[in-house]
Amino acid sequence: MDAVDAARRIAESVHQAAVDHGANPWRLLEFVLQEATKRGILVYGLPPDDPQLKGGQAVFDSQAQAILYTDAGTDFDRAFLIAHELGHVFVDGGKDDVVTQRVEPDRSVEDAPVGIEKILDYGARERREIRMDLFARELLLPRSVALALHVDQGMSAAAIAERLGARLAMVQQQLLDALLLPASPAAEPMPKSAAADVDDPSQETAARHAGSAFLLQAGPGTGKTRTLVRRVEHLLAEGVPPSSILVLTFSNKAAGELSERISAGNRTAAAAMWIGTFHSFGLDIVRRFHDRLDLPADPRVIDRTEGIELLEEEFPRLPLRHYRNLWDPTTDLGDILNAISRAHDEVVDVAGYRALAAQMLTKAAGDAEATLRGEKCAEVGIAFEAYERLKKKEQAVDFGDLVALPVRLVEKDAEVRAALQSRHRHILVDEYQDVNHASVRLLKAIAGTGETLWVVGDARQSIYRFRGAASSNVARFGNDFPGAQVSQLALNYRSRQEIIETFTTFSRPMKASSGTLPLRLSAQRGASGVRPELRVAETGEDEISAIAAAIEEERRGGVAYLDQAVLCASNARLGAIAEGLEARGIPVLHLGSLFERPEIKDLLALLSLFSDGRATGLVRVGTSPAFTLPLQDVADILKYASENEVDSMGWAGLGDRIPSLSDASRRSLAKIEALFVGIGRDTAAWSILAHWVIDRLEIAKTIYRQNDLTSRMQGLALWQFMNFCRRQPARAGVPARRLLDRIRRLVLLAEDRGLHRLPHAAGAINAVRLLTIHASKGLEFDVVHIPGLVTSGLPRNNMPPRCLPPDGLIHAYPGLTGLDAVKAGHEEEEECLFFVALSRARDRLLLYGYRLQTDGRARNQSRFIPPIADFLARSVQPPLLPGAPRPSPVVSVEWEQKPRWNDDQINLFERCPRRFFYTHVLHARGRRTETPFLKMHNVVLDVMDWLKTEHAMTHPSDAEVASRFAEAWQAKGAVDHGYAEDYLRIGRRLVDFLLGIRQGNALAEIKPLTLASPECEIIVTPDSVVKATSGQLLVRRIKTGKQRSNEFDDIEFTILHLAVTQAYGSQAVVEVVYLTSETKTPMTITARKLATRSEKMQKIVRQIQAGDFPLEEDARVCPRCPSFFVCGSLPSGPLRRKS
Amino acid sequence: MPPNDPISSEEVLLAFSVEPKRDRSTLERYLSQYPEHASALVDCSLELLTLPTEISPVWVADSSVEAGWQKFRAQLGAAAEMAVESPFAKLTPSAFKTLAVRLGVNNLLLLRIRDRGIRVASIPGAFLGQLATELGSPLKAVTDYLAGPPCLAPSSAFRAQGKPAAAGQVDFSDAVKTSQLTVDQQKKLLAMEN
Repeated sequence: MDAVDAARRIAESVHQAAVDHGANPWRLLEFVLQEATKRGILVYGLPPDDPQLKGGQAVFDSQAQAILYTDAGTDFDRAFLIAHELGHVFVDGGKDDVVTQRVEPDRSVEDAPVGIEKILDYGARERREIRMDLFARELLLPRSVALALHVDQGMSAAAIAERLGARLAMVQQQLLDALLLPASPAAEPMPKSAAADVDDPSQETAARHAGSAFLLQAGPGTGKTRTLVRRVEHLLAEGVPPSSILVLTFSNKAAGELSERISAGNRTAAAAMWIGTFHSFGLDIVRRFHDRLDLPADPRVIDRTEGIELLEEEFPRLPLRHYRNLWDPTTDLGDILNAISRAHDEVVDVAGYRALAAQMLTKAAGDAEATLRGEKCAEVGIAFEAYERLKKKEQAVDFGDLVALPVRLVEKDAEVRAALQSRHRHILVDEYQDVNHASVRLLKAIAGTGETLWVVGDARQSIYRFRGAASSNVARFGNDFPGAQVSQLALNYRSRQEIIETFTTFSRPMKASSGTLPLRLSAQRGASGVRPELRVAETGEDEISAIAAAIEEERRGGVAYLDQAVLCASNARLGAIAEGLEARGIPVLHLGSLFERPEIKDLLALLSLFSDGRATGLVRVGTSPAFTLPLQDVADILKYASENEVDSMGWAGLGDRIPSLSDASRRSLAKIEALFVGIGRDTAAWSILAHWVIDRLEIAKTIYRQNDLTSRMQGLALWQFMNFCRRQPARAGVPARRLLDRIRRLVLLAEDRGLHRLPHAAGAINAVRLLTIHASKGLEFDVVHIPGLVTSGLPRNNMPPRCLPPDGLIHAYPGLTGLDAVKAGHEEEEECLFFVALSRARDRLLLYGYRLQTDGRARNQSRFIPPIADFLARSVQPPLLPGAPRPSPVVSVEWEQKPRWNDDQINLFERCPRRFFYTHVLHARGRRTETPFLKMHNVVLDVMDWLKTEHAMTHPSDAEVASRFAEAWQAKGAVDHGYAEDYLRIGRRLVDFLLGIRQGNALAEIKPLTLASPECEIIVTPDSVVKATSGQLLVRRIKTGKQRSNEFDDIEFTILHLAVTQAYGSQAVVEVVYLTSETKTPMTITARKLATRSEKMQKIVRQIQAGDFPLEEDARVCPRCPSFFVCGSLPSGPLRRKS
Repeated sequence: MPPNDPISSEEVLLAFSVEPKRDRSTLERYLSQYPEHASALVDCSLELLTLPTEISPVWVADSSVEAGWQKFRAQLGAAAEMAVESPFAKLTPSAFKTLAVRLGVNNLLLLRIRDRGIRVASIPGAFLGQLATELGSPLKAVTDYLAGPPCLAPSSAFRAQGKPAAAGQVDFSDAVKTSQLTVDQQKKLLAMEN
């Protein structure tokens, strides 16, 4: 039970006792005043400007044993303030004075780990204030009471709020907590190893070190955190003032845990210490010395998605060639920002970056590949300059700045340095292997000679290379802080001897081991007599069966599901294993991608209806038992909505206008409409969703009542989702629509990963833990299963970033090129990942692999296996627990006439059959966010169409083109955009290139070409046909973008090729024109490829006929799909289509 | 001008705050000129150097500044020792309550007095005398303490995030009227003024 739970429990029992003694829980103000009186606490209400409130909203004075609160607002506001201060009395004993700045009655028990919340943490004092808000909420309306009122007595959130006179949002939040979060057990067991009572003298020696900088190498399971806490206790015992102690960590979680543990021993000291993440510490420096950094006192901190938005506007103006992407710059910008962030980690500014790029170009000396790399770096330099300029203009800082800015300031400003040095006399750093170059420099500046610097870490667990972490900083510690002493902990409390031997052996040749003390651990728990085991199955699917069998085997042997974990390097494989284990009846704790979960998508589809007149959301909403709509009716509604250009919410009321709808469908539609009654344009998405989840749809209540593992996971997902929705960046626009746009973007940039992490309350659920190895760091499990020990499973293939760092940027690898530095870093990190995974196990370690790939070819074992092979038991025919095959659903489509498709449509089917179905069979158009890029693109397409139809055989005059372009621009272009001129210019340039290539050749007639088959006809219309002077016919396909490397593998080119050959014979060739890159390429395809592609085309045609539209998941494509929020299950029933 | 006039304290801090260079030598100059404001000056100088002007979500331990500069203060030697210790510091909650009762006030008014929210010159001499007696401190020590600037935070060295609101001081009679005392208590206290 953590401190928050403890506070809540106290509040609940105080509430219960008061009610038992006759207090009226509906009169909140009286209720809390009585409670205060009972405890001998005086309560004074004061006007808001009373100096005695010390500028806060409420004060608890320990000497006077008095609560002073702002006597303003509603009785609920008053009651909440008093209840909050009572928390300081009931939970903390009322021994400290407190000024409460701001209360938040509907605050969350934990922040959603996404955006800036991910890295900025709270100090001990603010954590305490958060706790008291939660205490107050529980005292006024305990979860148990909220449950009874809502579930047993059927009261709605609004009814409860009204009767209490409380804020609706607080009641809703309390109901969400009560209904969706599992009740936490009264006492949570301590981590098993931490409970060990054997003392390790090496811990004590380390804690007492004095006289020089000190690095403690703490191998897995050696009690690193305990030693760090001991160090703090030792300093306090020596009389060091707590305020001069600075403890730096890398994650919120670590900061929170340390703070709690130190607090348990000495609350006042913990509150006075500075414990937090490097980023929070950096932000604190930025705020303190903002004037010296030419920043406002409270600069806006932007995350990566906001950074992309910032750069997006300016992007088209930048003189870029390699990173010029007019179609959708989001991912390119993401890659560029990653490169910029890497530069920040290395404290390299724009000038430095550009100098490195220039150096590369000089050194390249004409070598084509080297020049290309240099040019790309130079382009990142250009974007870097723009980004820094825009940030400055917005007075914003990003994550990288939070460390890089303080480093530069502290290094050059002696006054600031002196102030910080005198304030932070003792500096402790946790997880030192995760420091990057910037953080080391900050430490060097503040710690001076480092005499009072004490750091702990394990180079072999360095798995945050993408943040610029370099384990070599551990090896370099002695150079960075001359005279430093290095020592290590010797006793492993966690694992059995056999497991320790395995990972120790693996550690020897590890690259991260170089320059560190060799790992030498004795097993406090001794040997178990069982060796770790490698189980090799036949196929990837068998591997899951093997894991399932092993989990059951262990469970029968007495190890509960919750004490077992499956650790994977990648999220994707983890998802597949989770699904596989569930299909085999094994309960798993795994949220996966939050926004892809069915219960979340249901809500998102519903929410999308609010701003999509075309009602695409109905495709999914119609699958819900509450609003059943047959597929045919959904199709009819979508068709009507799309043909009649209805606006936002315009689908409402369509029930009466479409005669073909059944009465049942009309009723469903009316029910869906009713959900939107009372919701305004500006209603916050959270409020809409909370209202639906709690009262209108009663989803939370249903989940609470079902109370099985599946519904509990749904509850956790829903809670996590609601928690995410609570805090959204404030910006103009309809909140519900903005939320959907932000979700697409987060998923596209993989910034939603933090949300895969389960809320704390999930800990009590008895299910197998499924985690990425990254997420397992710092945890331990009785039994650990590690699948994927095959080639490119673990270690994974090195996938260098699209924007490579310039040569010489990465300090950890001096002398290596950017590409080689990335590669070296990757190899090192993969070794570390395996080391971390191996060392999570307490009693039993099981590794898995398989022999065959899906295409039947052999799959080799991982190269991580041979070094530890001597320590592994091997089983080549492991027991399996197979799952039942899952049939894919088929839609019954009846074609009234032979369908006709065009090449584009077939191409879409190849990319994703389901998207083809939504778009071309169901005509679900969806709402697309029209970026300025997209609008410009539409203008170009418009002109292209005009040329194709009106001027197939003629050359329009310049004036005609100008006029047509201007017309299209007015109608479809981004006319209101700040950089409209630039888009106009680019659009015009694309058109000019298009016109240019028409010149000089005789234009020939463009006619549609047909490929017929028994099932359908495929129509191909070339974009242009010209007769070259040689007499050869050039049939052109025009693309607005630029060529991808394997583009001609796409089915559309096979179709085009076949159609052209059929129509013109061998005298014609296909040529593809790319407007953005301004290139023309003759299309080529090998005979073998043509044959397989033709077969593929036939197969697609048959699949369409059979109604087989499986979905093709792709993390880079799906978030951009118009059907992203509806994709998944389909309404039932047959579908009749004309064509 | 009496040496402990609170107005002069504000003036000193104001003068210090607009000095072009608020470095150690300036601070030392001020400390030697106005030793009676040593503690306020040290606090002020630190605040000016290190405090962000807007609310920061990162909580800074309040005592940190003070303790972090302990060494600095120690160097200031005698000047720092001039800082007046609160005669209320050692009161337990029950002693504090008893004190209020014996003075015929409630805890709120006593808080205002303790936190120097009342101009010392406006407090009736009789009341001061009684307060000193009850506290067991010399009158001079009590008046010296009460002459300091208003405390920004409750008894311990707590400091709110951001720059604390400038706490003003009120006259004794106003404090009596706004401290939720009974009519009877108010009458008795106001009578002391004459």
